[in-house]
Amino acid sequence: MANYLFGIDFGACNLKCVRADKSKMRPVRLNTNDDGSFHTPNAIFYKKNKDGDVEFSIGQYAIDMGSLTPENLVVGLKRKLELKDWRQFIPNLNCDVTAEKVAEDILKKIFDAATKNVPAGDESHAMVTVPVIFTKHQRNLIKAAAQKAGFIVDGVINESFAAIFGVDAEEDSLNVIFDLGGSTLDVSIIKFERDEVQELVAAGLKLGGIDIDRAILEKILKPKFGDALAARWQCLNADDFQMNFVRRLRENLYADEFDESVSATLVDAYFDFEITRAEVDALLESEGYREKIFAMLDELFGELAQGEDCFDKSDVTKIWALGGTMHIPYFRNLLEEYFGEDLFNALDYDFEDNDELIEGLDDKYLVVAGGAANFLKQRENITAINAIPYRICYSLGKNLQLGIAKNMPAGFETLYLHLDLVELDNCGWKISLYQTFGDEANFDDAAYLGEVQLDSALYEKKEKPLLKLKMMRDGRLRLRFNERRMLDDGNADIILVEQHFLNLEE
Amino acid sequence: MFLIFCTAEDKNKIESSISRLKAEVAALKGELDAIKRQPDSTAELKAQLATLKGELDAIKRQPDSTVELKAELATLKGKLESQPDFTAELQTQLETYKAAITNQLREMFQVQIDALKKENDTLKDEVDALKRQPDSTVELKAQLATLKGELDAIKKENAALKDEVDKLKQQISNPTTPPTSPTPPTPPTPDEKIFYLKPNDAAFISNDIEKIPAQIAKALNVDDMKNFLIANDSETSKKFQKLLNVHFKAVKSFADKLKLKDLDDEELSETVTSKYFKLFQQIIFDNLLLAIQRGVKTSDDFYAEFLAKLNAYLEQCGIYSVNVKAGVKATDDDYKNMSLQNVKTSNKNLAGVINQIERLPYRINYLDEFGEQKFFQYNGMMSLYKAV
Repeated sequence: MANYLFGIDFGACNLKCVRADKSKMRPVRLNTNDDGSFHTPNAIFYKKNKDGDVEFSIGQYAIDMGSLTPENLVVGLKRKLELKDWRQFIPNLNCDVTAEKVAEDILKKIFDAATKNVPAGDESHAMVTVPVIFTKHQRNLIKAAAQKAGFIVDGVINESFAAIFGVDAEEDSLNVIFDLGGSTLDVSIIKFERDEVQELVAAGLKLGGIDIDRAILEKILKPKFGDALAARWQCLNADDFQMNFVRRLRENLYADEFDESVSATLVDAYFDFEITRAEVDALLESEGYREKIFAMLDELFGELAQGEDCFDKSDVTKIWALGGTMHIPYFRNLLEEYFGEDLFNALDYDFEDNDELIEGLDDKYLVVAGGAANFLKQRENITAINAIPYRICYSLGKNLQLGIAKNMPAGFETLYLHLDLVELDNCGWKISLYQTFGDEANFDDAAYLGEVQLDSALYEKKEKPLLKLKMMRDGRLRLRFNERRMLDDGNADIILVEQHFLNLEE
Repeated sequence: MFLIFCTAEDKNKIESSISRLKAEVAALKGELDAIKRQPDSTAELKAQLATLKGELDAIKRQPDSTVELKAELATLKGKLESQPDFTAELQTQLETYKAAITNQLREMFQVQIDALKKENDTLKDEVDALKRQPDSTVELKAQLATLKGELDAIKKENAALKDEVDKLKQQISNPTTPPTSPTPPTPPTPDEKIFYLKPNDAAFISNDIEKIPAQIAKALNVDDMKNFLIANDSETSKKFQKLLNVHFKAVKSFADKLKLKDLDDEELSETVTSKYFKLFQQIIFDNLLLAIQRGVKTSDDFYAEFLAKLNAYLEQCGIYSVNVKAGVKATDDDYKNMSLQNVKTSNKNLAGVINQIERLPYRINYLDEFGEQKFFQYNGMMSLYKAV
C-alpha cells in the first residue's frame, strides 16, 4: 500500500494543491477548464442537475455559475472561517451551510482531483496550511473538513512556516518568510539547519489583496468613474463582479512589462477605465500599510532579540517575499526600505524567477502548498519546532490573566502565578485556557484553547496554589500546580501537587 | 586796672551776652533745684545694685550646668546622628506610591481609552459597511434608464406597426397596389464567426525535446501583423503596435530562458505548454481581441483586416477557439467555457439567452504526464439575459 503525500494551501483567493513525488513536486490541476496557471479561485457553487440532484463545482466555473444565482455561491470562505457561527442559506440545497460544511465540500473536490490517478487502497496524506492568526478552533475546523473529504491529515501548519520547505534555503541560515496573500500577511523568522528547522517567531495581519482591491474600488474607481460604473454594473451579483474586475485590473496594472497606466475594457461598456500605479501607491500609503507592516516587523524582531540567540536584523540571511500580492512593487519597496538594499533589492525581485524554488515548483503561487508537501515528505528526518504566535491566558471564571507572552521560545516557563482560592472554589477548580493575538487579555479577542480540572482534595488550601506554565518543545503546554507547605523539619517549601498537559498544536 | 574803651555796639553785645549767661545760670539753678527736689534715688539704685550683686553671687554659687548641658547636647547630637536616615527610604516609598498611583490611573484611563477606541472602530466599521451598501438610488436610476430604453424601443416598434396597419388599411380600401410584406427583422451581425479558429487535432508542443524550440519560435513570427500596423497610421494602430511589441518581448524572453533539460520527459508537453499559453493571455486575449471586438462593430475595416492577420498568427501558434453563438440560450458547455455577466431584462422569453459575445474561448492542446491529450482553455466572455 503506497502513500501519496499532498500539500494543500487553502488560500483566500486561490486553492492550491501539490503532490510530493519521489524526486520533485507536482502541482495538481483543480479547475474544470484549466488555463494552465493552477489558479483556482476559492469559490464553490451548488447546482441542481436535470435529475434534481445537487452537484457542486469549484473555481472559476463556480464564479461564473454564481453570476446567475449568486445565492448558491460561496466565495471567500477563508474570511468566513474567521467569523463566529457563519452560515448561508443555499436555495438549491434548501438549507443553511456552515463554514465547516463548505470547507469539506471544497476539499472534497480537491481530493477528487488530487487522487484521480491514485490506485484504490493507497492512502492520501495531506499537510494543510493556514494563516498564522488562525485560532486552534479554526485549525481544527479545517483539519476536520479535510479528513471528511478523504485525506489523512498529518498536520495543520502556518503558511509562512510551510514556505521554508518550498524554497532552497541555505544551511545554517536565518530566513524571513514574508507571505502577502489574498487575505492575510504572514511572517515567520526561521532558523534553518540540516536536521532542525525552528520557527523562532511568527506573526500575522488581516491584510491582503482582498483589502487592497476593496480600497481601490471604493476610493479610486467609484469616485473617479462613479456614474459609468453604476450604469455598467447593473448585474445582480454586483459586489462579487466588481471585486473580480478590480482584481483583474490590479493584476494588469502590475504585469511586468506594463507602463504606469493601464486601461481595462468591460463587456458592453466601450469604456476604458484607467488607473495608474501612482494612484494605487498613494492609496496604499494613505491606508497606513507602511506603518502596520513596519510595526509588525519591529515587534517580531523585538521578540526575536529576547531569544537565547539574541538575533537581530543584521543576522538575517535571506528574505523570501511570497504571495500573489507581492507583485505590487509598493510592498517590495517597503521590504527594501526596512531591511536595506543589500538584503532585499526591490528591483532585483522577479516574480517569474523560480530558480530558488525546490524541484518541480515553477510558480511562486505554489510555494506554500509545495512546501507543505515537502515538509510532509521530510518530517520523519528533521526536527521541526514552531513558534506559538499568540499569548496564552488563563481564567478562573471572571477575568482573563496573562500567562505566556507571544513567541516565547520552546522551553520557556513562567514564574509562579498565584491562584485565588475563592475564585478556584467559585469555578469548581477548573482552569480555562485561551489564546489571544492582541496585546491585552480580554474575552472579546480570546479564543478558547482548553481546560484543566484540578483535584481540590489534593490541596491544603492554607495558601494560594501556585501555577507554572511551560512551553514544551513538542508543542504541548505543561501546567504545574504547586503549593507552599510546612515540612516535617519545620521549614516551608513549595511542593508540586499535580501536573497537566494541553496540546496546542494539532 | 586798665580802662577798656569800647563802642556802643560792643557794649550791647556784652550786655546781651551777660543777659544770656544770666538766663542760663537761672535755668541751671532751676534744674538744680528740680534735681534737689527729686527723691534721692541713689539709695534705691544702690539697693538695686546690692540686690543684683546678691543674685549674681547666688548664680555664681549654683553648680555650673553648662558643661552638663553641653554633654547632654553632645549626647543628643550623637543619638540623632546614629539614627538611620529614613528620609531616603521615605522618599523611595513616596516615589513608589506615586508610581503605583500613576500606573493605576494610567491603566484606568487606558482601559477607558481602549474602550473608546474599540467603540470608535466599531462605529467606523458600521460606517464602512453602510458606505459599501449599494447606492440604491444609482441602481434605481440605472434600472430606470434601461426601462426607458426598452420603452423607447417598444414605442418605435408600435409606431412601425401602426404605419404598417395604416398601409394595410389603405391597401384594403384601395386594392390597386399589392400589400407590402412586413420588414423582416435584421439578423444579428455574426461577429463571433470572424473570430472562430478551427480546432487542432494534436498537441502543439509534444514531449519530444528536439522539436519544442522550433514550435515556440513560431510565436516570434509577428512580422505580418507588425507590417500591417506600421502601414496604418492611426492612434489604434500605434496602441496595437505597443501591445504587440510587449507580447513579442515576452515570447522572446520565454524562449531564451527556457531550460528544457531540467524537466522530465513526461512533463515536457504539459509544463512548457502551460507557460507558453500564458504568454497569450494578457496581451492577445484580454486586450487585443477585446479591442478588435469593439472595433469591428464600427465601419472601420482596419479591425477586420488586422483580425485576419491575428487569426493566422494564432493558428500558426497552435491556438484555436470554441464556437459560441449569440442570440440563443446558453448551454451547459457555454457556462463552463465562458465568463458571464448578466444583463437585466423584463422579457422572460430572453432568460438565459446569450446577449453578446465579447470574446470566444481559446484553447491549446497538450499531453499530460500519463500521455493523455488534454487542453488548456482561456475562458471566453459573454453577457447573458436575466429576467427580473
